[in-house]
Amino acid sequence: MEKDKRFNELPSEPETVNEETVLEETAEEESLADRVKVMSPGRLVLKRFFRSKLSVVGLTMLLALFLFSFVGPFFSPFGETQNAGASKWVTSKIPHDMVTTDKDENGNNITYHLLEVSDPYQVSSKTKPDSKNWLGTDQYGYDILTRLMYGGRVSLSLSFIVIFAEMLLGTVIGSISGYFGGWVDQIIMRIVDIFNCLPGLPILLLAASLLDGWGIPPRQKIYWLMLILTVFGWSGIARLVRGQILSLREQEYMIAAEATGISVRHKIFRHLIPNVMPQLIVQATLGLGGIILYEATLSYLGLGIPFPYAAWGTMINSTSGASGRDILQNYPNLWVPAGILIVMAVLGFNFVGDGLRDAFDPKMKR
Amino acid sequence: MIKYIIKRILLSVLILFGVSLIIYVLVRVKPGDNFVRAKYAMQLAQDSTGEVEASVERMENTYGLDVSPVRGYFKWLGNILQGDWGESFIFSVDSGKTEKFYSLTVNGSTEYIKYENASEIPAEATGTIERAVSTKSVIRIIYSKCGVSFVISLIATIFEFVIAIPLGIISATKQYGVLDYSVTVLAMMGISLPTFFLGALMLKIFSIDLGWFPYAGLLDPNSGLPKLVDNIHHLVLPLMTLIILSIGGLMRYTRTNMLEVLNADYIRTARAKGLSERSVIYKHAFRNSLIPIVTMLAGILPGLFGGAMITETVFSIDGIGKAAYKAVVQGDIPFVMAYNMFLSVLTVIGTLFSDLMYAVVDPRVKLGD
Repeated sequence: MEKDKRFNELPSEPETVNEETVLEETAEEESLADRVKVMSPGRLVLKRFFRSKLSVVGLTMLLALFLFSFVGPFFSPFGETQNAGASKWVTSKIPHDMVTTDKDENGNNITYHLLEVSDPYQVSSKTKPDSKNWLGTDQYGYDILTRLMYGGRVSLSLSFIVIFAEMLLGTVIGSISGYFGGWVDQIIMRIVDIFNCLPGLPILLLAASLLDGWGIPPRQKIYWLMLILTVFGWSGIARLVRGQILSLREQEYMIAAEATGISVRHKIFRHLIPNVMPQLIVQATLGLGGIILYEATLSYLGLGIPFPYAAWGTMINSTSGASGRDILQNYPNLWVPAGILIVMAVLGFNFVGDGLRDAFDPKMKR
Repeated sequence: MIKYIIKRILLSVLILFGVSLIIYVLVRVKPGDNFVRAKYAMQLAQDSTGEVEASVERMENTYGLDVSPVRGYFKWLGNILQGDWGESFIFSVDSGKTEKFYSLTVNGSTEYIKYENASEIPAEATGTIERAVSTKSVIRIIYSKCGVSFVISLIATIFEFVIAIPLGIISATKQYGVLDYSVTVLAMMGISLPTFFLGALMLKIFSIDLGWFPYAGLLDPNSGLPKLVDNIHHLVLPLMTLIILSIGGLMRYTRTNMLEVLNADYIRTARAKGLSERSVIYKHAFRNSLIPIVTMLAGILPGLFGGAMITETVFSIDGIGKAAYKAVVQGDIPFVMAYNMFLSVLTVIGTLFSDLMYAVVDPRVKLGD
């Protein structure tokens, strides 16, 4: 890596040289280029990222989850809110068949069989895993595997949208605060302090319980949850961006940028923000796991994605409440898979985030 | 230093003002629903002696709910500045005081009557009984529910530090070794586990399947164990949950700091002097890696007193976290306000302490303005 850097920094050809030296120079450059592979910083980061086993494991887990959640439903014969057993009524003969015979008006013999017709809803709720429902069905008769896929869609897309919004908001506010300093910085940082001081989970609970009070339709609730998570989550990123910009502002290249007389907007968005990007990306990746956990917790407490829509947290919610003990004891297929998927998602984001942090860090030699 | 502290405290007051405003707006945004439920609860609780209307009015007046949110906020602010945090809508606890009742036998039936003045007590009043008085004061409720949460958090925190710091140090000294990888992966899994899922797994495995630990609560009168032993028996699972969840973060924090210290120049000097690896790590590196951890110690304050909302709910422990969850869901405005302000004050104090600790532990750090 050290070698690459030095190679990139080789002085370019002097302007006034005779032809021979130019030829010599290029020849030497070629031979050097043969020995040393030139790599862009981006390639270097990628190379270091893929060298770490944990980040590759994390990336694989995330890819698998994405495929499972976004492609999986196309292969599932069931829908998100479709009763897995509702396709037909099941009739079965009663063990001791009570057959009665009678004669109709024409004198023909008729045999009556007594059949038991089962309620499809009853049949298909809380069934054990079988070849039809690979993970069984839940207490409402929905196919658990399919619900897990749809729950993944919700968790993954919600967390990506929220982190994107948080980054946007945090970057704009943080860079304004860091660049202008003075009273602008003072006011913005006090607001950030206030948001940092708000107790995380209680506030989210409070805000999410408002949605119930307002009677937000279930279909729209996810957008409101995104809004809530963003509003109470941007302050950390704003603080990070501000700190970075404060230190970057003092560097020589910014003095040079100042000297060229470019506009403030250009200075912030062309010269400062791109240099904060690595830390931002790491922070965002690690933050994704946190958002998934918050969403799952809200859903677990019944304040997140409402029934009939699927969410991983809601599926674990069945272990609390009146029939909780029964479900804990006898129906692990109802809640364990959802928990494993949450752990996988959060773990995947943490692994990838850690790997990215190490890969971006120029001090890391591995 | 003094000037810095005073400035920080003044800023904290400003921050707390903002925090309380946000929380108040949140609880007041839908006064209809929250309040109707509280009213309904009161109406259920009281008999229909015409007291209901009066008491609802009194309640509205007390919490400033009969005025607009802005004026209501300042009314609330005025009340708490006078030390009045209000009364909870849904909780009540034993106040520790008792009332004296005199039994009076009238026409063959015994009645218990309370007298305000001693002079009113009739001569025929015979025996007296004492009854505990319950209070709905939010402060008393927080105070009485905080104890169990504090004990749980304290034990969990001690275990967390005792386990996580050595693991972090070992992991850093053997960087990229098998041990480092396995400890890191385990720590990451701990961080990634949702509390409620780990709690459910614990209940399933250790309580239901193996039957080693009780299912819920803090005390089982039928267990036949001494009270303290029974309490500990009940606390094992929640404690394990809390410890597993928190260990990862601290362990990784220790590891990062230790790695940073191990790359420092003075460690190279210590090695160059020919010191044994043991003394390099445990005498020179370890002590310096403690600086950020000691700083962090002050920041765990809100965690210690604030209770573990989800853990307490999963294991049905009657601590402050569970109470807060119930209060939020049922719209107990005074309790929610008081609890959140309690947490925010602890957070502010914790941050201030950890900044001060930084200057105390590391003489190079000077507290600027």
